[in-house]
Amino acid sequence: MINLTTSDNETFTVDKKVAEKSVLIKNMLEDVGESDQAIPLPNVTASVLKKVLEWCEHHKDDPAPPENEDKDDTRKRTTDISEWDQKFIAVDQEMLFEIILAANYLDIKALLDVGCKTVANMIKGKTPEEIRKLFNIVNDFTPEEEAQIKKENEWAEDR
Amino acid sequence: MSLRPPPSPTRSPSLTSQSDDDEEDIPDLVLPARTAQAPAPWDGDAASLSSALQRTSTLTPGVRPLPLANTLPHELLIHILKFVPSHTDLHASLLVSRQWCQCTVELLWHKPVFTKVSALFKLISVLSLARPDATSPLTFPYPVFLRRLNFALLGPDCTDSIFARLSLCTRLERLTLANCTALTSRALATILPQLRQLVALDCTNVHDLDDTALTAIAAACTRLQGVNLSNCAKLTDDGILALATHARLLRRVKLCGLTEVDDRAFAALALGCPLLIEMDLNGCVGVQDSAPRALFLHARQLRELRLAGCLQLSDNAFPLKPLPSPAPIGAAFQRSLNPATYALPQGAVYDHLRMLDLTSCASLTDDALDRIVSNAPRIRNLVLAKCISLSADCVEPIGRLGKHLHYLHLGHVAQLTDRSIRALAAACTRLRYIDLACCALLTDMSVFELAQLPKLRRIGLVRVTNLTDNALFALGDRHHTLERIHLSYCEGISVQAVHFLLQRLTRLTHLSLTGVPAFRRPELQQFCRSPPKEFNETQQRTFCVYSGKGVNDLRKYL
Repeated sequence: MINLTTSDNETFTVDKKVAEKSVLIKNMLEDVGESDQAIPLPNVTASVLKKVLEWCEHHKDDPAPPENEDKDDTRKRTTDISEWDQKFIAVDQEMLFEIILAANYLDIKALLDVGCKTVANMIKGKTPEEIRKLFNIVNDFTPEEEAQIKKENEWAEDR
Repeated sequence: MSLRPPPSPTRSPSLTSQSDDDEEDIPDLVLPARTAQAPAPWDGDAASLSSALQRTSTLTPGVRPLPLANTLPHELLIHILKFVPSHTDLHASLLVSRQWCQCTVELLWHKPVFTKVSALFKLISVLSLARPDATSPLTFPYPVFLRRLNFALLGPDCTDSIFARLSLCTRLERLTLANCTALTSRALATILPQLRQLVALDCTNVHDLDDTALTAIAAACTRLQGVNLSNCAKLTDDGILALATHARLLRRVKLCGLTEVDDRAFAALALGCPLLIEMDLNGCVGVQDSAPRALFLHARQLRELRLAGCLQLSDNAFPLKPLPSPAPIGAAFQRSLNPATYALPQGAVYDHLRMLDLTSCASLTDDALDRIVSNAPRIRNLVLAKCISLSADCVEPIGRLGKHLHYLHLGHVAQLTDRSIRALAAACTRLRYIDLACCALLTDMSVFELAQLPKLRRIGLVRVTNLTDNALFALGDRHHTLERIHLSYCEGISVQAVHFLLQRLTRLTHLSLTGVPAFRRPELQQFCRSPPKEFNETQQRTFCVYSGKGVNDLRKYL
């Protein structure tokens, strides 16, 4: 079993197999060897880690992703998400982005992809203004810039 | 002024750069992997950008003045945007904010897809603004974002001056100029050598492309892995030899219809490019035995070989059967005495070859097939149409391909008999496609045998004139896999038998019955496809092909 401590000082005890879904933790364990001491995860809060570990637990027996996967990465750039993952990732937006950041920090590629695909799906079919509203993003273009970008990329609109 | 934002707070070890490897026409390429991971540098003014940067740098745990979407590290935003496949959605993302713009722009320009020529012209006009002498600078260095471009849509409208704008697109990896017939050799020789990252180049029907241009391209674009020069009829040995000297990484080569190129140049290409996996020499009438010989001896990875219409090919183009092991004493020496023949090195098997097209290679005999199958035992698609020297026994070597053979074309191999087909059907049980057009000796017996093939999806029996309704009953009786049936000019078949067939074959999508007297009736022809325009009046009248919906309509009517 492995102990993990979050930024808000909560400690989780998990199966080694579950913890090692995170390449970061896996590498740490390889470097320092197993010990009773908890591994500090200063970039993750307890509420997020709980969610991430839930995902790791469910996927702990998945086959390891192929070594050289750049190729497949683009070949099937699908936005398909498995049913379980879809339910798992049906969280509020703040948590969604927290999971993405945590998956990135902990280096859990499959979870990162689930999160990013979910956001990508949210973008589909929306106008720029709708995207801004959805994610509460400030439009920081100057009117001139916006007009020029629009003009230079007009071809992409011509369908 | 060009600014690059500072690295994002969280480095992502798991993000891998995107490889450009998903093009269908040239799969299996090993490509330089590099695409946007960092946002595109903004060529706008620095002051307004700094506010955007400040926001990014406020990502400290616990303090989050803005929603997370605003503070996402660039590489994560790029990773998200990579999952947005449609250009429409990418275009919307581009206009969200400065950060989104920087992270989207390279993805959007990476592989532009056009359905309308007007859109392509808009893109080209942006490229012309990128020239150094342009008056108003562009926001981004768009030309270098382009990795793939397809000008086939422009066709003959692609002039030299339009084409010249590509000289700034120095990171282009795939370029299609198919049917850009107006391009001159001079322009091709000037611009293409500047695109040194080119991995795939398609110049199909660019008729003016000559040896000088090809030599310049081959010398400069040494990363080329795929090249299509079909119907560039000005090319001669010199151009192909230059390709053989410089383009050592070539894997897919299509050279259809290069009538001025000789055997020795093609052989040199086979020798110079050991990675070849596809070689298309259809209609290259200069091909003799040396080119295939070099391919068999040196291009050991070859998967597809097309030699249709290489009329000079003889049986000696193909390696002798391997000697039994251990070889009889002196056998190898004995073989070496005849310079016309050759064999693969002892123990070598040419087992990558899957596709072989020998259409109209009229001199080839059964011996050629024996040699081919003995050395390349895993051929999946074999086209022997119009190999008129083949005998009824040619099915013996073909049968040795057994379950590996899926596609077989034997049209006009007129000596085939029912006995041949029986042997074939017994040996090659996984055939999905068979064509026996104009094999005049065949009767219903052959069809009975073929109807046993469990995976048969398409059968071609055009002008197998002995066929009667019994053949159709056999097909209908035994087959629920059949999708396409060609029965044109099978004059002995009746409407009732076709009716029976239609009731049984629910998956049928194509049925050709041209020249079948029983179907020369307006009420039956009303459901068939309209005949091609180039047909003469008699052809138009007899034309009778049902496909898709027409099959259904005919089925309902009958």
